[in-house]
Parts: sequence; C-alpha cells; structure tokens
Amino acid sequence: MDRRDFIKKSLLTLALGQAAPSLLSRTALAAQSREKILVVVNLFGGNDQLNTLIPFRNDLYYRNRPSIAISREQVLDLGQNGARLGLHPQLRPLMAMWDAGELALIPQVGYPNPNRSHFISTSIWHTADPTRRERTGWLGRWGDGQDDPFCDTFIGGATPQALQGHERSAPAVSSVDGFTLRMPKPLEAALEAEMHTQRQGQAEEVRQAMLSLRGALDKIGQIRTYSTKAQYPNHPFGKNLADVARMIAGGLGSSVYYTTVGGWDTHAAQLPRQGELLGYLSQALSAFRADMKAIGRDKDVLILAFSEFGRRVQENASHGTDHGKGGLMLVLGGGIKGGMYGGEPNLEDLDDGDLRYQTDFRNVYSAALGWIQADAKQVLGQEFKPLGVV
Amino acid sequence: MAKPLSYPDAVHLLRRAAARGRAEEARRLSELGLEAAVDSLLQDPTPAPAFKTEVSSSERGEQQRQLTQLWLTHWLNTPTPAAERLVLFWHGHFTSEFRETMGAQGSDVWAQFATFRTQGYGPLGELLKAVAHNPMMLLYLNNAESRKEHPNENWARELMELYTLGPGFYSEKDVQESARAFTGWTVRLPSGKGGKMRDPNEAFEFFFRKNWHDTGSKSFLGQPVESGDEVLEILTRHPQTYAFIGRKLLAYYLDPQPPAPLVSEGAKVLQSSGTREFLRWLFTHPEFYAPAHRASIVKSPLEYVVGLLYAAGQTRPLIGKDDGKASGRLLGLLATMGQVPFDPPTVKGWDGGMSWLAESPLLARLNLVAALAGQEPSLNLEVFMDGATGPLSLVKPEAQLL
Repeated sequence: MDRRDFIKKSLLTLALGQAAPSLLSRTALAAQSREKILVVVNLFGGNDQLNTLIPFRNDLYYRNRPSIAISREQVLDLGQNGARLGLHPQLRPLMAMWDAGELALIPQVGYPNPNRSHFISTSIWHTADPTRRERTGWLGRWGDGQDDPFCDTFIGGATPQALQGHERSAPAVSSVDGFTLRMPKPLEAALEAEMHTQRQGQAEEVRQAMLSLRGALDKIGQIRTYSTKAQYPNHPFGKNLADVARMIAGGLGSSVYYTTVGGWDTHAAQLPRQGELLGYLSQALSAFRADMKAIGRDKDVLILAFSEFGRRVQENASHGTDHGKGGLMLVLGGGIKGGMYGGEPNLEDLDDGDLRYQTDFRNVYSAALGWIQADAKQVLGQEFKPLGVV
Repeated sequence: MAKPLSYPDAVHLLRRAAARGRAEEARRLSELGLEAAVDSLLQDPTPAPAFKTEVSSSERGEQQRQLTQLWLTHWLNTPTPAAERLVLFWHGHFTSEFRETMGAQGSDVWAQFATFRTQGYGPLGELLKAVAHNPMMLLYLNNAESRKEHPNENWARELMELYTLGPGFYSEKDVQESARAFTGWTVRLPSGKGGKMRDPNEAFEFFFRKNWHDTGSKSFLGQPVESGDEVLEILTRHPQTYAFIGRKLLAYYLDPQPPAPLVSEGAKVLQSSGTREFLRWLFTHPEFYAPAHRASIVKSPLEYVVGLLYAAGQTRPLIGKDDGKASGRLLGLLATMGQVPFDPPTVKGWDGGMSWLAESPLLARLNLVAALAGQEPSLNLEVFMDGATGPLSLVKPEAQLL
C-alpha cells in the first residue's frame, strides 16, 4: 500500500466515522477484539543474560564475576523447572507470571556466525537475516501485505528497520500525549488549506505525508481520552508501554506494537545500571499486563523482549561486561505457554569468552508471527520451526 | 561575456549549495552572473572556531550539546555556508558515531569535521587518505585495535561497502586481505594521558604501531599490496569509487534520482578534478536549473533548522527561551526530527528522502514553526522555500524542500 492509498483509506475511515460514529466504531472494536496482538520490546545495547537469568548454583559464575555477580541469597529461585537458574531480584514482579506459566524464558538466543557490533547485530535481528543481504525488516515485510496503515505502530521517534517494508513503514508516534499539533489557529487553518491543495512532484509527496500525519493525529487524538489504570514506572519505557496500553484500549487496531528501551550496554559499573533497568522493565511489563487484564485483552497479547546480544561471561576491569553472543529472550502473556526454553548455560564451553548460542531467534520470530496469523515462512524466507511458546 | 543568472536561478543555487540564504544574497549572486556567483559560493572554507570544553571527559552528552551549538552557530554565521553543507555530506558519508565511539572526545569529533571542511573540496583520494588516518574513524570502526594476531575487519569492510566502491565490487577475501594491510593503524594521545586522566580538549593523533602490523604480502582486488596506503591508492584509482560517490553527490545536490548520463559525466569530472570542480561543473550545468530538479530534495532536519533560523535572522541556534536548557532542547528537537549531529543512526548514515517526513518527525517540523512566533518582522523566506508569501507559508509542503 502506498501513501496515497493509505490516505484514501484513512480519509474514508474518517468520513465513515463521521457519518455513523457510534455503531461503526463499536463494530470496528468488536471485530478487532478477537485479534491477537504482538508487542515487541527491543532492549538496545546488549542485555547481560547471566545477571538476568542467573546460574546461581554454578561456582564458575561467581568465579568469573567476582565484583558483579548477584549473590545467591538475592537470586529469585525459579524452582523445579527453572533449570537450576534464578532471576535478578529486580525482576520480582515477573515471578507471579512465572508461577502462573505466563512467562517464557529463552536463554542463549542468537544466530550463526554471531556479530558483536551493536549495529550489525541489531540489523540482523531487525531484518531476520544473518547474511546481511536483506534491507527490509521482518515485520515490515509482513506489513507490506496488510491493508491497514495502522497494522503496526512504532512508539518512538523514527521507525526502526524491523518495521520498514518495501512498500511502507509503520507510523512513528513518539508519545500519545506529545503527538499533537501545537500551532496558533491561523497557522493551523493555513495548514488545513495547504493540505487540500494538490501539487506535483516532490511537493505532492510532502503533501501526502502531511495528510498521513493528519490521519495519525486524528487516530491518536481519539486514543488520548483513554487513560491507564495501572501504575507504570517513571521511565521512558514505562511511558511507552502505557501508551501501547492506551492504543489497545482505544481500539487503534494495530496487530503489532514496537518500542525500544536503551541503556543495556553495561561496559562499566554494571550492577546498579542493569538493576535499575531491569526494575523499570519488570514494573512496566507487570503494569501493562494488569491493564490488559482490566480490559479483557490479556490473553490476546503476546510480549516479546529481545536484545541484540548477551555479554561476555567474564567481567572486565571496569566492573562491567563487554559485548557477547547468545542472549536472553522473554515472552510473556496470558495466552502463552510459559516455562524454560533451553538449559543452564555451559560456562566451561565458551565461544571466545561468550555463551554459545542455543536457539535461533528466527524460531522465536516464527512463533510470534504465528501468533498474529502471519505467514512465517514467507516473512522469514525459509521454514523455521516455531518455538513452542504459543 | 559572463553568463547571466536569473534571480529565481540564484535562489535555487543558493538554497542547494548552502541550505541557507536570504533574498538580498540571492540578488547579489544574480548580479554577479553565473560563473562569478558559483566562484563566490565555492570559496575556500572559513575555519570554524576551536572546540574548547570545561566539562570532564565522562560528560560526553554535554560535549555533544556544545559541539552542536558550535557547528550550527558556525553554519549560521560563516561567509562560506556552502562548505558547511558539504561538511554535512561528508559527515553522512564517512560516518562516525560519537555515541558509539566510547574512546572519543568532542575534540576528536571536531578534528574529523575540520578534515571534512579543509579537504572536502579537494581531490577525493586526498580526502580518503585523511579519513583513513583520522583517529575518530579509526576508533569508530575499531581499526585502532586491529593487530596482526586479530585483524579487525570493520573498517576494511565499510571502506569498500559504504565509503568507496559500494557492494558488488569486491570479495570477502578483499575485506580480509585489506584488513591485514591496515593492521597497526592506530591512535595515541600526544600527552600520553588516557583513561580517567583524559583531557577532553586533547585530540588523538594517528600512530602507526609497527609491531602490530602484518608485513606479509596480501592481494587486494587482484593486485599485490603490503600496506594500507597501497589499498587506498588502488581505491583512489578505481573508477567505481567516483561513480559511487559522484552519484551520491548528485543525489544530494541535484535530484534523489539523478539522470544516468549526468552520473557518468560527473564521475569523470570528480576523478579528474576533485569535488570543488565537480560542484562547479554541476552548478554551471543547464540541467541543474531544469524545472524537473527544482525543489526535488527533502531538506534534512539540520538543513531545515539552519535554513529556518537563518531566514528568521537568527545568528544563534536557539529554539524558544534562552535558558540553561536551550542546547538540550535543540538536540532533543533534532532527535525527534531524526538527525542528531555527530550521531548518524548507523554506519550507513542517514537514509534521507521521505523517511525524514514520517509522522513524528514531520510533526516536530511543523510544531517548530510556532516557536518562531514574534520573529515575523525579520522573517525572509524567499531563499528558504518556493512560493513564500509570508509567515503562514511555512506550513506549505514547499517549506520541506530544498
């Protein structure tokens, strides 16, 4: 779908909405409520798996990390099926989900020939192509085949590669409350008039972009009246997830929401930095799920969190860790099959100081694509057996 | 007899060359005639002020805000603004990300910009050589750590993939062999005071660490080489380097889809005479003034902000109140628009084009218009955009175009 079709469609939606507001919007909401939703959280910077999902029964872990290991008594024991592993104390809000079978932990996720560059590895995760030939994103390719300009939404400034297709990319909304036109009335009136004056060439393309912005402003404007009930942490990630909750509650209708939280690149002073971030992450996820429960959508929403790589097993001289390979993925939701998808990492058999990767991330993507009824083979270019989380 | 330059053509020339201008400047260029107008735009660049910071080496965010102020203030005031638009081109081509380059300080970033400014107009081979020796680049693409035992291929790969030939003109073997040729190309601090002792005002210098260098023979693009210099020489002789960069320059200065005959003609000019002569050739070419190429380029956020502030008569890059948070606000605004200076999103630089006008970035551009309230009397939009009739014109699609 190109911008022009997009505009036609959103103008049509608008016109219909004005003609018969209550009935249509209620029908739209009802139709949409049966659909599954995928929320992707990109932990940018390389989250350290070993201090998130901790091999606290392994002395080697403590020997490799004399100054930054999480002490045994602090670790949250995952019990019987936790493969002798435990969670970072800041992840306490996730323990109830683990107990209820609504949290899947997937350790050492990666891909063949791992790359330790943030950029390259992130791009590999976004394109789902470890050979680095593909330029479009995995969800962008899915979006190419969709009919709705809001089939996916990025909560942030500039749509990442994962959401860029050949034909279109997801609308980027940095925040529901901030997404407003702030100009004096005469300027706003002038803008309205200019948007309805057709042009040629590049100026016409800009006009189309203005119209799609206008469509997004209208759509998000309707979302703004929805507020969240749960308490989100005061952190950009908390704000972003609260906005996703509002978008879902308000019936924006996206099948995919995507957001990024940075700061995981803990080369130095890792303990306080990672702990703080894990705290925000678990509080925000917990609040988000509470909101989904409140509107009866918890079983429809699958949350997927990933990082471009894990970190080196041995701590460095700055009480931090350097870029590594296999990392931890989390899948959460009321409708998923929780549990441990993988075993305790082997700290004696390392790949140049890093955990060896165990699960290809595309097996997890395949499951996530299945969740939203996407053709995983078409999106990923080949068959990947979906991980059993859904 | 000198070729004439009409006023509308002078407006187009000034906007494209400098991304900054007011009616009186366009009028002056028009009076000069075509050749002299182009000469005056392509003068030797005025040097930018030095970077001098009071903050510590760990306060890199503040250094970046200071650098942004320094550069945009210079762009707003310099008598040679065309050189600054070219600096932006090289910054987006020979990319380095300050955020990703933990070993670098503001002084290293600013030294790289000085290279773009002083050598940007010259022969491409000279600029390439300077970039390959540039400490910011060596740190960014990890060549500074590359030694014969573990050659790092990051620089060697991007050198060919993004900086000279483009994909398809070299093999993985060429990447590996040239990485060996660049081993030992590293950096050092003249004072020797690194780590916590680092003075953010002291820039790194290039250093060839002989015992890190792999002296064995290598084969690069079918030719035997030993040193990184020889690799650069081969790339400098390669016509594809000029086709690749020449096309990119035309996309930046003429049209995102430059006509093929112009691309091949331009490549020859670039190879034989350097970037300044390339731009002189382009700016005096009738095709440059063809209606099809007018207003065909989407302004980047930096061009939009600099162009708008200059049109409003501002000499400082100030958005809103002049308080302690002004420099942070400017950087935040540029981030929302999608272009943080000194921090291209990836080693590929900025994609540009319509991606600048996604929903949130476009909204930020439109909301910026309101921040100019009260400056209407000094607003002169004739060079900034086509079809301006007054402040209300800033919401026209044309305001986004170069």
